[in-house]
Amino acid sequence: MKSFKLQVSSFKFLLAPCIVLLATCTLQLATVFAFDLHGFVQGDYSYRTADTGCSGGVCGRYWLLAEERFQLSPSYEDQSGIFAAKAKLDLFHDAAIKRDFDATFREAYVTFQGSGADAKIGRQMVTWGLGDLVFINDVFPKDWTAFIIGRPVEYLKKGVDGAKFGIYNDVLNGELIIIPFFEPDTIPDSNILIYYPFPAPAVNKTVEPNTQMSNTEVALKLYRTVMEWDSAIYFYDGFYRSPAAHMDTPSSVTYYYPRLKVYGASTQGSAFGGVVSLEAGYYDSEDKDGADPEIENSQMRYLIAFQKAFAGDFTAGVQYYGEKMMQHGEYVRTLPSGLPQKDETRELYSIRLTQLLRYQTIKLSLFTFYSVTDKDYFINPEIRYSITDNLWAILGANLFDGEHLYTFLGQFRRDNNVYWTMRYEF
Amino acid sequence: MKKVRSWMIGVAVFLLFTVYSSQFTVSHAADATDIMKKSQLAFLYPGKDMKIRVYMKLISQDGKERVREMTMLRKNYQEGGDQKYFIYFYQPADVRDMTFMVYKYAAKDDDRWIFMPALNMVRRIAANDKRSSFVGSDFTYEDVSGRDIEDDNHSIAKEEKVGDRDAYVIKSAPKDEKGADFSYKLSWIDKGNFLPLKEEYYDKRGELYKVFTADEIKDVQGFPVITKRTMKDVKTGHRTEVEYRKTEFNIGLDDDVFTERYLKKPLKKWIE
Repeated sequence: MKSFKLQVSSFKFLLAPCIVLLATCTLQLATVFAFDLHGFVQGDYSYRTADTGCSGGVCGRYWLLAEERFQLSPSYEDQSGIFAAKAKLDLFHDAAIKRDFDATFREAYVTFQGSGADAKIGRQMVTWGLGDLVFINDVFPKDWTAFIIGRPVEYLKKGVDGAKFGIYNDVLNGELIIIPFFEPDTIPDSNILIYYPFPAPAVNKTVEPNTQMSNTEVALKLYRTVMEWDSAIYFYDGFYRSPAAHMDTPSSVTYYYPRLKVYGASTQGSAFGGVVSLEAGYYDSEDKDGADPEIENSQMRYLIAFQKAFAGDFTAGVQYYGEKMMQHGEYVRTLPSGLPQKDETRELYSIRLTQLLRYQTIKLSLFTFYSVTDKDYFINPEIRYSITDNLWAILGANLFDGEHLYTFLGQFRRDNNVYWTMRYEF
Repeated sequence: MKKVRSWMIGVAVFLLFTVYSSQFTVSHAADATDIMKKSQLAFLYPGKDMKIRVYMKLISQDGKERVREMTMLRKNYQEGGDQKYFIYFYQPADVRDMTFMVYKYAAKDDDRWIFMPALNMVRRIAANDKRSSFVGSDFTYEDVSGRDIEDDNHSIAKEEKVGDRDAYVIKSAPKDEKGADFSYKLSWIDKGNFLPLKEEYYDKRGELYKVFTADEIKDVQGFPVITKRTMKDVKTGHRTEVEYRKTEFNIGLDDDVFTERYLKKPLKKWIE
């Protein structure tokens, strides 16, 4: 997310009073101009529990996150309900990475609502598809560092700067997203996290797609209910959000973002006493014949999931996710020597168990990934307690391991962490 | 003559009594089921549709309060059968702008969807747990949207007054023991308007564990409405008080109110 840096490092002691002043002023404005004002104050901490097995730099870093965050969210809707505007401004300081105070708009948009159509313009969250922490038709930017260090799950998602146009009727509903400004995924930060290859190669430069007409991303979702099943088809024309690496020297790379098209479909409905989800997508890479080792080959991605609720506020979900590489033979043939070889198909099982207790003020959850093909896993136990209606706290752990150092989940074994978040919302 | 007359009267009375009592035993269960059906219609189906501002207080034994405030929209599709619900939350803060939708079916599991604003994501959620707590309150989903009348055997236990209102006391026992938390339930049904004035839930050991009371009944557009109610867990002392702060019937809810589009961005007029 592009953020602007506040040049206040030398006046840190003024920040707290400034925030209070800002909040008070905004609150006053809210009363005068009749807009709503909400937000939160949050402390978010994550500590590495794994032994890094190395020293210096990232190896000596045990605090992965030590952040205070203040979010201010004003919103306005006119009397007719046609025009509305909303923003979420985050002000934060992370002592773990010793940066200055920062500010970023997580969301900032205006909406127009008509009877059969609407539009939303500005920075906005878009979440498509049915996967639980696996993404097929959700082609929108994510922050993987946030996920691995255990920030609240909403921070896994990043906003897009673009426009959404929706049409709605009895026959078919549609959402068209136009994104002129490319936003990459935040890949795991090698200043904080240790993963394959380690040490991370130096990044000479990162080349993002220019903001120009031919680079404008287009995402389309058409959906309707078919025999009581929520069904959708998807299309995306844009770029991979994780970079391809061009080796400039054996220890330095240039990152760039190859073109990508995705064609997909999903459906979700009630069956077998629970909810069944099916989703698939074809990732159409620009490396059609699979002979370019820098660029991901085309892929077929698919998932099937089942969720069931039980008496006593207990819910269980299971999910199978598969990723089949096209032209695997060509990939193997062109793979530079010394690099680990991926299987043709990667398969991932997940389980999510959730138990609510004490009038739903306590939430115990357990999420696990296990890959039969990569032979690695991820375990995320978490407890959330609503101390009051406005104050909650989360304590959890992210545990990765596997047979190999280089697999998708197993590579983060040295980043295992416990995290703690506390948020006061108003 | 006098003798004959009194003999005839005796026979007539006997016949009448026999006919009446046999009818009474046959129709007793039917009456009770009928009363429960009428009660459900009066309680959960008044009007074509409805909009209510619900203020819910969850109060622990030591008096600690939590608040749930929401607007609930409801539309009837079939008398005593299919309904659609739409709920928008104002508070607590961590669920503000969250919406929740239920398609309630008479003969099968409901469909439920939830919208999470922070992720701008609509998800279908499993709905086979009608006995789970509704938003952490003492009310279950079943208490909010109704239990299938056919799932229980009903009988009239007695008739008595609740305050100054005459009521039938209906005993309902689940046909399938595993299908309910209670072994039986007593409902005091107002003979005049058929609203439940009180309910007592007894567990498998026959002990009272949950009590519902209608604390205030008002006439809204000609419909009698329970505008204040309490569900109390008598074992823990925890209780939930619900107040309807604003109730409107027949407001002309369109079918498309109950769609993904409005889950994500409800129309201002429906949640004001």
